[in-house]
Amino acid sequence: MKKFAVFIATTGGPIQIERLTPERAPQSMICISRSSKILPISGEYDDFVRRGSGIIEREFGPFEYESFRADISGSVGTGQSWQLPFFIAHAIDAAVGSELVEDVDAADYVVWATGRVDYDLNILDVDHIAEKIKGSHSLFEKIASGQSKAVIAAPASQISLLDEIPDFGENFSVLPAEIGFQVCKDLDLNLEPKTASGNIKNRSGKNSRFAAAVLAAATVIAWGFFYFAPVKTDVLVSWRDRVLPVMGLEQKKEKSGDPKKINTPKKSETPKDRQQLSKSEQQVSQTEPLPIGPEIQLTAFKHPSGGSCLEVNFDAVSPVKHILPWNSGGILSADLLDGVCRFSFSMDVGKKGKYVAVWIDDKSGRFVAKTLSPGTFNGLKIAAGRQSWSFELRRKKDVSSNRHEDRLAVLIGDQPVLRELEWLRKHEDWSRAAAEMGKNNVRLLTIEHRKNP
Amino acid sequence: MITGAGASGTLTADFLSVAESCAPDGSPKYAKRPVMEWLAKVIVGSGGGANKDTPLFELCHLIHTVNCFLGKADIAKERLTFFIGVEKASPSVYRDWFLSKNALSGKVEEHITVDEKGLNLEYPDGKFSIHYGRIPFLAALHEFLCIMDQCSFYEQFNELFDTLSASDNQKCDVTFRKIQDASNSLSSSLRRYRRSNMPQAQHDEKSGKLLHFLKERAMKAAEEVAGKQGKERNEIEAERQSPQPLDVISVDDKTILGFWLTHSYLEEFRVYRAVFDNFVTLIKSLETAEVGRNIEHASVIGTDREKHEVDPDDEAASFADYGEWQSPLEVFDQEPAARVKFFKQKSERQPIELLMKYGPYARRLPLAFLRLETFGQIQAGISNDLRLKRSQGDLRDRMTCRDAATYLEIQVQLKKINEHVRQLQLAALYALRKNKHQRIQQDGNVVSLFDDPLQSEFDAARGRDFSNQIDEEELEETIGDAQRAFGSFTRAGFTEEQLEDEGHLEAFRIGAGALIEVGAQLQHFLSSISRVVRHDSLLEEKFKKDQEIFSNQFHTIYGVSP
Amino acid sequence: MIDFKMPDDRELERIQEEFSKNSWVDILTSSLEENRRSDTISLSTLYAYLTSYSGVDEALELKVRSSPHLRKLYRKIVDQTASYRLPEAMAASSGDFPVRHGSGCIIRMEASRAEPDQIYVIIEITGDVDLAPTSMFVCEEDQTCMRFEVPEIKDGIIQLIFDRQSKLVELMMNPKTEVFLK
Repeated sequence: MKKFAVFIATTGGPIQIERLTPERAPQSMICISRSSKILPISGEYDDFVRRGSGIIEREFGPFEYESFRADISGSVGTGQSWQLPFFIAHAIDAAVGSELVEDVDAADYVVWATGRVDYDLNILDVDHIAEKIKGSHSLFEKIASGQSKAVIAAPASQISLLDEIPDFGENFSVLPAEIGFQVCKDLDLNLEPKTASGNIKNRSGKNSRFAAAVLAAATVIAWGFFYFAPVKTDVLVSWRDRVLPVMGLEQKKEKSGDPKKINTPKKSETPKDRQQLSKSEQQVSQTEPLPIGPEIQLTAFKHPSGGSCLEVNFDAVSPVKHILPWNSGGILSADLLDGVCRFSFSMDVGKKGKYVAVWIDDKSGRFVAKTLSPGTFNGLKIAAGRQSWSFELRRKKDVSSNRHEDRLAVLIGDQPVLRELEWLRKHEDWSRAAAEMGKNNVRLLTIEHRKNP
Repeated sequence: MITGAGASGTLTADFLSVAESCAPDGSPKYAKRPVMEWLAKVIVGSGGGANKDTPLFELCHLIHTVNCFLGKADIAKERLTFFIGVEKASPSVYRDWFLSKNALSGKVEEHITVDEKGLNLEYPDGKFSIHYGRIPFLAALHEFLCIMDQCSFYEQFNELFDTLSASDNQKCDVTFRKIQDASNSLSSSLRRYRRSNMPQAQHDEKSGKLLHFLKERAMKAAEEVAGKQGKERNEIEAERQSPQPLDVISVDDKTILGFWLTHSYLEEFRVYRAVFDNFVTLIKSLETAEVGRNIEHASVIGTDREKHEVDPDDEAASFADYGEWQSPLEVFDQEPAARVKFFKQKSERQPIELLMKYGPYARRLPLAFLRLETFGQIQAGISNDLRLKRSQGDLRDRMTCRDAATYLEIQVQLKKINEHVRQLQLAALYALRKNKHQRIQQDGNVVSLFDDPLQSEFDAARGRDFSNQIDEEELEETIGDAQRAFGSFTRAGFTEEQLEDEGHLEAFRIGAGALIEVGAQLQHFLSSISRVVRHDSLLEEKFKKDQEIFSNQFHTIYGVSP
Repeated sequence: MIDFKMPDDRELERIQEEFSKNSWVDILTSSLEENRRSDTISLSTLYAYLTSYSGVDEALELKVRSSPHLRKLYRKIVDQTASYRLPEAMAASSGDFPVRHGSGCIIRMEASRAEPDQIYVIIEITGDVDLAPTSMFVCEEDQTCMRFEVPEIKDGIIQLIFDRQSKLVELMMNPKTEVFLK
């Protein structure tokens, strides 16, 4: 059992989250060290826990009881930098094989954290990090003199501020927190569902469902990315992809290696424009799909029957892989997309290695694409051979019905392509953009998506 | 702290609990003067004019009116909000309440009319009016009734008040008679309260001693007169033992001093001021009794005392003085007069505070009052020294009365203030005359500062000629003096710009009336001194004698050797 | 000199009565001058306290508790001005907590799982939340009431936590007590 002691960084010194207890009361509360003194931030904590306004129950629930009582060692003032430490504490509490402890000396890990956590689990900036570090020196010294390992977690964008922490040796590590899942992974938390010892209790009385819908953005030439509405399975999703190879590059490719088969559509080389087709016109591949091109492959990861996407996303269960087929009609039934938690896109950039940058131009507001973007896809690092990554795109709760196009761009070049990416962001006409980039030997692959009514 | 010991403790505690009600800004909810002073009189049963229960009667009318404007469902709660929930009991607050209620609901009851001045009620069997200015008084009375005797009457009264509303069929069945009955019920409860909490005995003893002393003195005086007239002692003795009382008792400066000197061994008469106050109270009581008697048996104006003729001479108090005397200085504490700094506290107001408090009683007892002013302060200092356990040396020093203000010094100070008051009067005249809307009496060029000229009807009946004609040249000169007077004041409220404001002019209007009264009192008092002691040197001599008397008496009372 | 006709016995009685009254007036008005404090509480003060959001005044509460009449008056004003009234609860079986029902309001209690000696008091406003209460008054059979401030309402619920030995819990455990919210 891994033991964690978690501290909230405050300017008045670190405050320990001593205990989290599920309660029968309707509202979550924060009390000071087992007393009945309630902290004024309890209301915000309740919002943070509760489904609908917060993230804890959504991410780690459903829970048997309605709320939580948190006992902490001191007072925490206004502000929201307590959110990250509490998120971590709840994750520890929910994870298998780890527990939150009060005795710091008995802890394997001491987590010191500060940061805001938004509804999409992004870790956001906070103030007064320097003062918080200053106020925690004695804790750091205590940890350094003990056996525990210290993890200092702060928003990734502010990680440089942690340089203020003196070097306490190898037992101290810094955790740049960018997104909730990443933090949990970096802490090596095993988030499997706990056995519920009673009926699942829900404030609203309905069965809880995961709220997140997935919208995958394809980054590959031939694949589209699919928008699916979890509820409406009869919505046909059409996509159109547009491959704009730069001539010079393709020719080089043909020269460098075995030519790869490109599976071109039988009827037409270009996909149809946005069309609305009935179900009968759906074409679903029953056979082993062939990748559209040698470079790109699109795989959908679904949760097994009875499982959940959370388990998949936290690697708690093995997902079921579906390599998505592509055909010239460019239409896929949304049925195929039920239960998809994550997409994986793999791309073979060749042995030589290329610089690759990926960008999603989200105009519709229907989704927020947040990638666990590996550093290899920011346009600054060489990617060689087959590179793959997977990501989960959350759909925003408020789904608009507008018809705006969402686009995805992939830039591939022999030199760093970050500058081209920045340029592309300012230009709407990607056809022209592609031509311009071609002059610099940068290949631009784009895919557009629009939801049909 | 009022500990509530004894019946008087309950009464005082109940009274003070009303006085302690505060607005959110900490100021008293009910004005000390005149509201709380009026309430004190009503509680003891000496307010209300001819019928001491009149205020209760007024209150019942008000409660009925309020009930008519409230929702039937929660009438007790809303009535509580009206009477108790108001933060500051001022006429404007109540006026706004009634006007807005009237506007919102229309004419709630046929028999009630609400206008800018007050409420008019027409019952099938009578009429009644309540001015908004009365409501703060009635609200204080309501609160007292609810709180008295530890709220033991609260429920009973509320049940009674609930009956003073229209019945469910919306037709008002409250009559004048019903109001009277309710008022009688309140009165009966209040009488019970008085019996329990206002024992007369402790005051009877006091008044008995005072009256006995006066009688003794009268008899002694008569003895002396008889002795001079050569009457035989045994006749005097016979007369002394006669059950027939002597005809006249007198209260004068000597009486008060004499009483104090002979009774200061008693706790309740140790302090000279207390003795002076007791005599003033006795005089008021005798006057009340006399007014009653005079109404029954009108006295003949004349000089023959043996025939019980009364001579209202120039120095005699005006008939108007038999009414309730109130210090005119109170006017300057309230809006709108408060916005003008008529008097500086220490040098101009404090020296005349007591004089204005006692008013006509001070000028009828000028020496007694002077003794109060100077030696009363010394004695207060001695009491303070004893409380603070000062040294014997300090006590002795104070008891010499070395530091007592002399009568001449007081006289000089009063004359100075009198002149200041005159200047204020001129300044007020200027301020009001500047106002284009001032009223000028039709038959003259007298600038009237009030609706009615300042003279009592009695004075008019006695034929005192009050000429309304003033010489034009004199008037011009007066106006010039007035302007200069106004310009000479550099204190708050005396700028030309402020005179453009109507509210500010109202301050001068009201202040002017009070200034005339202040000036009159000062003038009369100074004249009284002159009548008693015709020369300054005699006044000084008088002081020295009194100084010795008081000093010796202090040593005797407090057991400190000189 | 001020002269008066010597009063006869009947007049003497009247004079003494007047003298007494005037003396009482002097006593009362001089008490104003001396800025003396009363031992009791004015109705206006009590009303303002009970209808304001000023918090609990322990000194005033103590004064009220020491006087049966003030307690009665306190209770009356609370009753008359309350937004929610919850009369006696149904008696709870051993171990359970009484639940109170009022028009637009329910109050229940739950023991904390973390600290069993601490009790949640949960006020659910089912009616018009525009009348969100800020104070709770719990009144015993002898008219003694205690005032407790309550936190802000959230989604129709006000939740407090008290020690089991606290006065509030003791009062709430007694089904005979009445609760008022305002």
